[in-house]
Amino acid sequence: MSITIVTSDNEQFCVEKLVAQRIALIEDMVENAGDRPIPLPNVTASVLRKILEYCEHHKNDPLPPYDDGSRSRTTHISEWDQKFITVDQEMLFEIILAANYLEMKPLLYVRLNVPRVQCLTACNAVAGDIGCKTVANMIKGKSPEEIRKLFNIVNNFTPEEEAQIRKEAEWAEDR
Amino acid sequence: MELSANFIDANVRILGLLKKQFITHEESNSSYYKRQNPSVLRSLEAENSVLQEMLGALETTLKSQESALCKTLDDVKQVRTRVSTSCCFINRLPNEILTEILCKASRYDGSIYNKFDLNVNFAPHFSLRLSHVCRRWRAVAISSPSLWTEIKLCPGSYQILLQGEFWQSLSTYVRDAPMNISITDSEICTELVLARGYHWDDEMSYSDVVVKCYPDGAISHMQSYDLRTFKTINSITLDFHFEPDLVSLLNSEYQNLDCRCHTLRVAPTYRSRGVDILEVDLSVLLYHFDAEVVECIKTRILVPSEGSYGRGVTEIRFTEVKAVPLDQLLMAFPEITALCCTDCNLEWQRTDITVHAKLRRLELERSTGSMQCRWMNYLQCPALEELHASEWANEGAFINFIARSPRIRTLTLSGRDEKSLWGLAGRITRINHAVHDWRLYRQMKVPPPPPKWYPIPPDYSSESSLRLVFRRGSLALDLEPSQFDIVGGRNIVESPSGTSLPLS
Repeated sequence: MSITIVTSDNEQFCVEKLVAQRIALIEDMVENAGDRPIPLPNVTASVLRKILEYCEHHKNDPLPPYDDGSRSRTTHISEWDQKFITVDQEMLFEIILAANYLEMKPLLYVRLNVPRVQCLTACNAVAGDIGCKTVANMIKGKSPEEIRKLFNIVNNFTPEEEAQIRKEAEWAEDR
Repeated sequence: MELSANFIDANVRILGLLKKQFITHEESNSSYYKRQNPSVLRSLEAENSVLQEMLGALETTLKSQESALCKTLDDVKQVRTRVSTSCCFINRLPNEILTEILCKASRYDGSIYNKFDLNVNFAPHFSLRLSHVCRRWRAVAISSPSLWTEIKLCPGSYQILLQGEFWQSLSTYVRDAPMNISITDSEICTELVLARGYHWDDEMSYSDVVVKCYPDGAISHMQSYDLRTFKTINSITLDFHFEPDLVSLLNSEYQNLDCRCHTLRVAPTYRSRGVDILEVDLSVLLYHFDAEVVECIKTRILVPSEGSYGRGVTEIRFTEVKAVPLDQLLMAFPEITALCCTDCNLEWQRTDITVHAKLRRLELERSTGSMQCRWMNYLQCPALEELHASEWANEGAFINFIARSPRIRTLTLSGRDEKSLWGLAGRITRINHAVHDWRLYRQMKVPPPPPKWYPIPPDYSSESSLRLVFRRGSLALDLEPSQFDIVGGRNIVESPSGTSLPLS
């Protein structure tokens, strides 16, 4: 059985139900929509294509059991996921935003039947989080200036704030 | 081959003749028109030349426009590339996702680093770096306590630890969240002591103070850290190799710092034989530290008199503590809800009924003296819900105790063979559910039996039901579910005072 999803740029995707059900938002909408196409006004076709690629690859993965969050502490990413997420910055952040919009984490909340707060911890371990892990790995070990350059962030501190930061940096880097 | 070549040659010749004939015909036609209507021809030629000029102009315009369009396309491509590389996509993320990313980026990932270097790549130093990127990141970092609560300290960072500003900023950012500070190497503490020239200098010269720290968030050698700024600390472990006068040390160094922590653990390390067991005066300890859970491992304890400090204590755990005066302890801490004694020597002096109204869990595992101990005769805990007891030589006293504790919901029995256990269980009413806990079979050489977990029946919530847990039986039982309905035994037992009490 398949369902039809319509993206913000009016592209239609015919998706296997098993694959689509990895996305909580769609799973919820399927019940109400019946046979009608499901609109996703906040997701473009290119991003949805990537997300469906991810869902297709992981459709048979067992859902992770609840744990104490220790697994989420690592920033390790599997080989396939690493390849999947090797995209330009624009796409990377689009995927993170779309995953957030599509509620891919609370999907596990429904499945695991555990309190939402606990589930969010458990869900951090799943690959829906690989976007955040990837960005975190990009940041790790870099100086503020390097981070600014990497993400095109403007240094918008006021002179007073700059002075405070310099002071903090002095004792933080003091050996 | 030869025939084909002849055929092609013939065709070429025919084509040549036809072409010649056509040209001749065209020339004759042209001369005919020239002769017949020269004015029409001239106008046509003029028109033709005009058209030719127009065509040329159009071609020129088209070429110039084409090149202009190409240039514009190149410009658009360049602008697009510039925009895509100059856009700050990360700041499109909502705060909660950015917080998650920053937390992951600053968290210690288990990678090996030079322990003597400042570990600037992990919290809290890296968190601080992240707060220096831009105003938004600073706001997000400062408003996220989780970025600052897990701290790993190494010897390379001890200079920073001596700075008050470090702790001040940290306490501001952490707010009320519990902290988890890990000190990975004892050298950091030694260096701190040397750097500070504290009270410990004299002690070290002859007592060889060794401070040991644990990777699970323990803090020791606390006088080196100004902990007053922290409102809540998850755990504090005091680990002294040799401390002849803990009381005077605490009095001189801590001075009731109003330091709240969830767990206060006293776990001394005895590295040589013949060293006196550390004596811990609970009233002194709790005067200085406001803890919810107190844990003493391998110490002697002095129990405070009633009405002293430690009103905030809710749980006490003793392991390998010699001489635990159960009655004094329960009288001194009337607010505790759990008391766990493992491998301890229990004592009970009182000869009248002692009522503890708040105690909900009592664990007396492998504690010698518990079966001779009179606690079963004189203790009354109306709120007791869980009892874990390994020793119950006097079945009558034990059953009496159960009878005086109407709220008991879970009873764990161990330390005997199944026959004795079932014999005892048969005399306790209200049991309608039994569970085998085979966890301790791991310690045995024989392979464990398959786990026997049975679902708790729906009526477990009723007041009268009691869940029985058998732990570490000496035989592997293969029980049928029907055997769980062992409700029976006496309905009336006698209290120590001789009054008959109903069991259910």
